[in-house]
Amino acid sequence: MLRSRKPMMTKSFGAAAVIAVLALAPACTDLTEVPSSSITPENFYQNETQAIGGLASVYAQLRASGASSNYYETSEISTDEMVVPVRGQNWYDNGQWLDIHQQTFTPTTTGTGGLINPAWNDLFTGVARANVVLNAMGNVTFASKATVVAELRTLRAFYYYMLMDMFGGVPIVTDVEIKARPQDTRDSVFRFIESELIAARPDLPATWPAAMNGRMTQGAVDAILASMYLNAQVFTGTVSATGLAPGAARWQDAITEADKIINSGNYSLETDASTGCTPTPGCGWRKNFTADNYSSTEIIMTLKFAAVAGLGNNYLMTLLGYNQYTPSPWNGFATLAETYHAFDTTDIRRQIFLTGQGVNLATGQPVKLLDGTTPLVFSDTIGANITNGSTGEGAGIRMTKWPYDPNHVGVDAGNDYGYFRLAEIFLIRAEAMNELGDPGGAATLINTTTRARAFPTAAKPIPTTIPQAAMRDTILKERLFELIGEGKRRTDLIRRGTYTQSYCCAPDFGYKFPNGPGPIGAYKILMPIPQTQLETNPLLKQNPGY
Amino acid sequence: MLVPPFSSNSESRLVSFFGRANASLNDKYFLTGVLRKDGSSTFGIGNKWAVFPAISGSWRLSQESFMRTGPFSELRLRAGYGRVGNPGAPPYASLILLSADGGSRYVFGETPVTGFSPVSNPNPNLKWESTAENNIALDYGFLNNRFTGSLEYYVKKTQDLLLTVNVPQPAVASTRLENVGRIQNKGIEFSLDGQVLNRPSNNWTAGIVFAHNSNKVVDLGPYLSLSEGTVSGQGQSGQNSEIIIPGEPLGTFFGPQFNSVNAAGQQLFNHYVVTRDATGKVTSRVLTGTTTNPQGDDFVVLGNANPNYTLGFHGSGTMGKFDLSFLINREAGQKVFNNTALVYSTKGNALTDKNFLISALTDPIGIDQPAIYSSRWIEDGSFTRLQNVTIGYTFDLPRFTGTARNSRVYLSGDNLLLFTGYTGYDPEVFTSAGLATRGIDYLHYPRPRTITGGLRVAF
Repeated sequence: MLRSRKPMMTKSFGAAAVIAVLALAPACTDLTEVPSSSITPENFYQNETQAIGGLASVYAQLRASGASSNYYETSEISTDEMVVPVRGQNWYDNGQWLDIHQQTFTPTTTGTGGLINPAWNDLFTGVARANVVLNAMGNVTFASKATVVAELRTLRAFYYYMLMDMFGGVPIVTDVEIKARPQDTRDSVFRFIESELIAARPDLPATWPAAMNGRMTQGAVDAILASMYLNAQVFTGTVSATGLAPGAARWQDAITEADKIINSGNYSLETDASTGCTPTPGCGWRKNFTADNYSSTEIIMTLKFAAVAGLGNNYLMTLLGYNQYTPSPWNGFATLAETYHAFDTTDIRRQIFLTGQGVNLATGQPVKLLDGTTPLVFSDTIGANITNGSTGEGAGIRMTKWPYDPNHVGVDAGNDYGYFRLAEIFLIRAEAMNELGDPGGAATLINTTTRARAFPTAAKPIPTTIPQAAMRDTILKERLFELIGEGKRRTDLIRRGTYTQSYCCAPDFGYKFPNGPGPIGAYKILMPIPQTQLETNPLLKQNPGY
Repeated sequence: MLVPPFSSNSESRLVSFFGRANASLNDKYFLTGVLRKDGSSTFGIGNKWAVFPAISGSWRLSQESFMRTGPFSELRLRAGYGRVGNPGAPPYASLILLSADGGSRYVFGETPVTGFSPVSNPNPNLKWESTAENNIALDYGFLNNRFTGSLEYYVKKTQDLLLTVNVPQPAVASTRLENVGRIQNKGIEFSLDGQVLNRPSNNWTAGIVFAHNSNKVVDLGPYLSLSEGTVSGQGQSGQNSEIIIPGEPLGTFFGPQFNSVNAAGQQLFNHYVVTRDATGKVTSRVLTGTTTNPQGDDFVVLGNANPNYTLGFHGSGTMGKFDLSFLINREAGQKVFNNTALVYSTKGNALTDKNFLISALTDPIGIDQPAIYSSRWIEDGSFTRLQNVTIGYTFDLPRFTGTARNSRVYLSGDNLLLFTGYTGYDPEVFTSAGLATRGIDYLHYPRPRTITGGLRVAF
């Protein structure tokens, strides 16, 4: 082969063209994004209609705090009001329901991953949505702006109320930046909520016309404040690994807020007589929970549901047997036998429980189990061991606090979820009176309000000679009977110091934990900050004890 | 009032400029440089453009005088470095957008009203994910190129991964797309092809391809781990099967270790007591008995879905008028999560008139027990597959047509034999590149066995 002595070199270049093309084609290199079918905060929230659109989205997030939400289920299932036993193939779900119910939750357990962490996100999403709209309100003017801003601040304060209740100290944020932030103390969060509510109250109406039912009112502010003051010793106290060091009591403030509501003239207890309903007795009380409860005169603050896809209350789906409803429910949640048996048999409030032969709620006809042959019969006992899948389809009492809505659309029913009812305001006032040394007065108040309604034929009054300590237990029980299923039990048990020992496990009808009900650390009155959140926001500190 | 269904449109733009320069010297030394500038509208302002260079060189050793006498008829050493970008961000991920979606609707009075709210978190700092690859390789041929092949080693480092991660609250959603973390792929690839027999009427070639890749998550930014790989089936809400965690490969299975079955027919899992430091890092892990209800600390790494190696063996040849070709594949060492068995190996299916696998008849687990994800369902997915065999016969048909030449009749079979210890239908389940979950078999449609016959007549 002939080879050249001189190095033979070839080269080629294609790069020179790049600069030329860049210079020639500015239009095709403009990469600015201009969304054509979406809107941005900069060009929205410019007038009243748009601002109310923003406001509606902040209200909408309330659905993530009421019946069937992560917050609600975490709260309820961690108490003696609800249990989700493993039922054969169903409801094991990574052990998350057992984790919550047995209070074994830690920052990394499955209940934390499946329920507590989503609750954290859900509630903060409410805060974030409120901040987006509030920040956009800075440079717009319209007639109802003061009211809209007051509603937004009340909503944000309420989301913070639930966060404080569940997690203690959390970051107080009023801007829209996404960044890591340290916690504020639980006491600071308490004072922030208090000052926001007090500042918002004058700009809120006392009532709304029916077409605007569900929006925030002065009564709603008073009710949140009354509840905060009732729990002030917990909310402003200090939690350590060994439990709660209580803060200052605010009993008189609770009475003051309760009286604002009671004396406003805007609310009255629903009774059989006031509604003229059938069947009596009891339908008057149930007016607070039926699909037409939007017109209840007793509900002070509410989460609105409608029988519209995506906007409804699907509470019944979680608990009914498979053939009791259309679409087929999920047959999960039950009430503990002890809790059911704590009700007096003549208490009208006991009507919410389904026992014995299960029926189709639409037709009233008896129904079968999923196998199509065995009758569905609800038993009060749940079984020897809820972690064992041997729990049967019909095991456990079912609590239909929000009854059947004949107009439901799929899973979506129109029953509103009342956060605060006048009945609770009476109970708050009575509890504060008892703590201030007037158990007799407290007994009289309850006897003439919730108990008068609950025992319409043969009255069962609390003796007015009852001592203060016994009255505490009586009020806790009365709150259970009146408010069961309404998301109050966890807070009540923590206030009375029995949350981490709430399982009485009476051997006659109770289920048993494999290793007994305890011991459960007293620090569990605060939920763990989920590990996910600690990693996402390194400035957060874990709650004590975890 | 706006009610679902909605429609929407979105637009994104990708612009690339590309330049390449080649240089060679004496047909021995080669140098290639590539410079590309890519722009994508989906990234944040200031991050839309990125420059990705690449350079590679090779030295054709076989052209050197000192190699003239060796066994190599072709020998080339090459090395390269290059960066490429991944524009995998959806439109508008860097902007804050409002939406009137269902989650923003509410009811005032008894009337649904449309709400407007941001429904995803913007990330104005979103930028290109990029991968840098270094490789070095040897291409060879000897005995006058009767045997050829190559040996290559590569290291790929991907940074600024486009991952959907949690954001600090409050935020309008729990996650957003961020550039987080780094992964690394290292591997070796080897191939050799040869003409085993080379006679006019008896001609055979055969070859093997071997590849080994090791994948590792290097860094996840502030996150200790991310969880993915949803488990399917009844009672599996909230259950994930895989974890992305620094130090382990993508596709790492994570769950409790199945231990035994107790007298009550319940599954028992290893129970660990774990201690952590103030930042949440695990400092010790002690096995302390068993539990029926495994919780977070009982979850451990159960293996990963990536094979240790893949091997291909192929051959083809002719003998007279017959021709034959075949292809054999082997993958070894990968784990498969048999989600199908998890769901259908539970006797309880019988209670609701559903079928279950025969293996469940003989296991000691009670009929009322739930299906629980664990190491019990992680199986070795190694396999060897006879992927294809084709036999053909070529002939002329002058008697009938006078002109027909090279007509051929053949029979070809795909997926003829599978050797595996895997208990499901087919261990070769969908494995995607990138960050998606891999190695989960849930009612995966098995590869069909197909036999094809054909006749070709040429005029």
